[in-house]
Amino acid sequence: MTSNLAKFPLFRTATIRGYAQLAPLGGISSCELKTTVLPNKLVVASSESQSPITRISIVFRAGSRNEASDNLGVTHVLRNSAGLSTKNASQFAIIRNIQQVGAALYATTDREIVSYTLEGPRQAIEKALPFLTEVATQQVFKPWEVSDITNRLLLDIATRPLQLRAIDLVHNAAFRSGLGNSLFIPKSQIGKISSETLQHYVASNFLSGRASVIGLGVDISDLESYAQGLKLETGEGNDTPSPYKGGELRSNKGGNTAFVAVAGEGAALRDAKEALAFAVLQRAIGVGPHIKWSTRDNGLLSKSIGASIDNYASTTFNVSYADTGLFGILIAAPSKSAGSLVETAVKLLKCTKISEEDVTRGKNQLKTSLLLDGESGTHTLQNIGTQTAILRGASIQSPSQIVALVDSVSANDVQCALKKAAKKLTLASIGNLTNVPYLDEIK
Amino acid sequence: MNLLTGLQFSKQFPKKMGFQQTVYNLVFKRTSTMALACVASVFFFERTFDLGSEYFFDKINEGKLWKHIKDKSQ
Amino acid sequence: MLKPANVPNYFRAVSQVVSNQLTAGNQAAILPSKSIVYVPYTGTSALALSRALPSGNVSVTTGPAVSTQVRWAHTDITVPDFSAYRKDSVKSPNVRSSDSEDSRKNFTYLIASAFGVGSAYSAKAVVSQFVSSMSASADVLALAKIEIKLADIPEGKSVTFKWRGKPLFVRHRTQEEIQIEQSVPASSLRDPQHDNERVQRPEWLVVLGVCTHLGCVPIANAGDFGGYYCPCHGSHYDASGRIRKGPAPLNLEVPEHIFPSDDLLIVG
Repeated sequence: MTSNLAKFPLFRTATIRGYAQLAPLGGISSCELKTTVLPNKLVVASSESQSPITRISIVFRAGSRNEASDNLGVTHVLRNSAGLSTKNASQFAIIRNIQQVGAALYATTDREIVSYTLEGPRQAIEKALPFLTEVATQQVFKPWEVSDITNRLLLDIATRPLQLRAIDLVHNAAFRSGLGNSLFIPKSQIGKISSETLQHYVASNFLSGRASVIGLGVDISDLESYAQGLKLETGEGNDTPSPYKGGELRSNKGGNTAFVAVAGEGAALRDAKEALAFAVLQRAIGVGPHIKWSTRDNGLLSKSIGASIDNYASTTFNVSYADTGLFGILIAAPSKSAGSLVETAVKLLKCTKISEEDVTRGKNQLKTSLLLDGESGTHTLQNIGTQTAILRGASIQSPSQIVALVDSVSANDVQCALKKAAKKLTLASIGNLTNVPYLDEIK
Repeated sequence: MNLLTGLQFSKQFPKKMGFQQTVYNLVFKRTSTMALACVASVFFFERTFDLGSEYFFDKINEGKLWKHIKDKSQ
Repeated sequence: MLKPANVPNYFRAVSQVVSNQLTAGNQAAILPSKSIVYVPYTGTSALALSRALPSGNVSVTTGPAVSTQVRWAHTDITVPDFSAYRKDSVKSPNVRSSDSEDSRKNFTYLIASAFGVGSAYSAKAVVSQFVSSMSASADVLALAKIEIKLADIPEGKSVTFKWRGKPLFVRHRTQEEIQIEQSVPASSLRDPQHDNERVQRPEWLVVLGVCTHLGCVPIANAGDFGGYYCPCHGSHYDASGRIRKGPAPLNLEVPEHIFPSDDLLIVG
């Protein structure tokens, strides 16, 4: 069954290291990130972190923002179709062969990208790699298999946590279409995404100009020869800009808790300086407690709420997309106190003077979280994957390189970032909205 | 099972070695003894079985065999 | 099809108990038949909730060979009842299974041993069947012995019998012949054998009538030594069946024979 799959001698040249210098399981996070662009514009990026776990990811700029009204939810179906029968391998063969060698294969989608990742011990990856190629580039979407995942779609929708739905809603309100599309299929679309729709979506988005191949714990030359063997259609595809528009969406679902997201426009990923300023601002406002059993962080939001209200949770979210971003505060609180919390949050976004002290704290927290996240291979892979898919090889930075740039952010940059975010606010809420004010009611 | 209780239980009521247990421990526990027992019992079995089948054969064929009519024919 | 006249009906939120003579719009609605509603977990403490709030890019991961696999629960499958196949001694929840362990094992092994005994018996039968096929058959055994009444053979005569497909010479020797043969020194012979080694009773010589040279049948009372003479190549045997002249290397073979009574000889 697998005989006609190309096999690449990827790890023949892997260096053998002595016990004395054994790399940590997560690999060396500060190792150099190498990038090349193939003639067909496919970006290959790799970092030989010496980790015993190798991760290879094929990333396409085909996230849910590329969905149109007629194929809404196609990325959700696409995500769940990972592992269905492909041209050369059956569903059973894929699962069996990957599990047999002890590797894992998964598909990840967000609003920008769809990525297929294979991770496992080095020897296992070599054996399982043909199946990554199959799953990521040789899809056939057999109709009977596609219709079989309907139940899974229903389950996915039913088990979405409310905070995730709040994030979906705030995107929908802020961008309406494009980036406003949910990561999940709308209920009305279930059963309407056919095999042809999927094939058409893949054909128009899984192009070499929109793709990148990322490796951690792989030598760049090995990964390059692997990437050259991928059968991808050349082309750049179409990118529809999705500008920030702002608005308000409410979904009254009852219950005890209200999830409210207040947001403004954030930084685009292409504008690295502004993106960093927003990241510092996010930490300055506070992303929730870091310490076990503590209920609040040391950020600006917690300070302005004060100790009078208890039993709530809040975080600042900051997402950068290719051409725009979303920055805001997400609050989860009992419906009684939700109203005043939202008002405090809006007030904070609109009229706060960011002090030098806040910026320093924000920088330190940002650096810490960047470095801690950098130790996780999965996280680093996703980070580099998004960067390569969007920035196409230009100025791609490893987490440790980004850390070095954080210091260049000034207090003024951060203040400007807050000003940009507060220019036009968006409010989205879900749960028990009895006491949640409308956007125009907030002074 | 509580190990401690189990121990106390067995101390108070030492298990009597029953017939089944004796047979099991002596014969069936080891493959070698079981094979030996098989071989030994084959001798008795063969003798009984052969005699038995011989007896039944004669009984069924009463009056038809040479040894039954030998006296009359001479 | 929506008729404009029906539009107001869509904004009604009252159910008509008494018909108001207006045609209601045929609103199609399907009531969901869900019996299980999943309530997403939102956390019970502020910390748990706080940990669950996303602060960055939200992505969803799933895969064919990872832990996101969903197993659809079936509640309509009954657990099969195997008690018909279980031994009675282990059915009771109040009795320790280890108590009856030995007797259960004994039974199982006894059955196995019974098979062992049976197959050993059959194997023995088969083997002895094959081995016995190598031994002489019944008709051969029936001809294996020959009884000879010595009274029929006059003195000085050699009588030929057929024994096991071969000629058998029984010679009633005269006193004279006995003396001659007794007196032949063994050292002078080609195949040195004294007459006493070849005969049990001096007056009776029992030899096979096969020439030791090439297997011809010698002629009795002929030849230079008055015993046997082989006409094929001229081997001369004496009255004790010993080779005296000619090409044969050995004396005529003396088969096993006994004299149960004075006038009876059994060869074989």
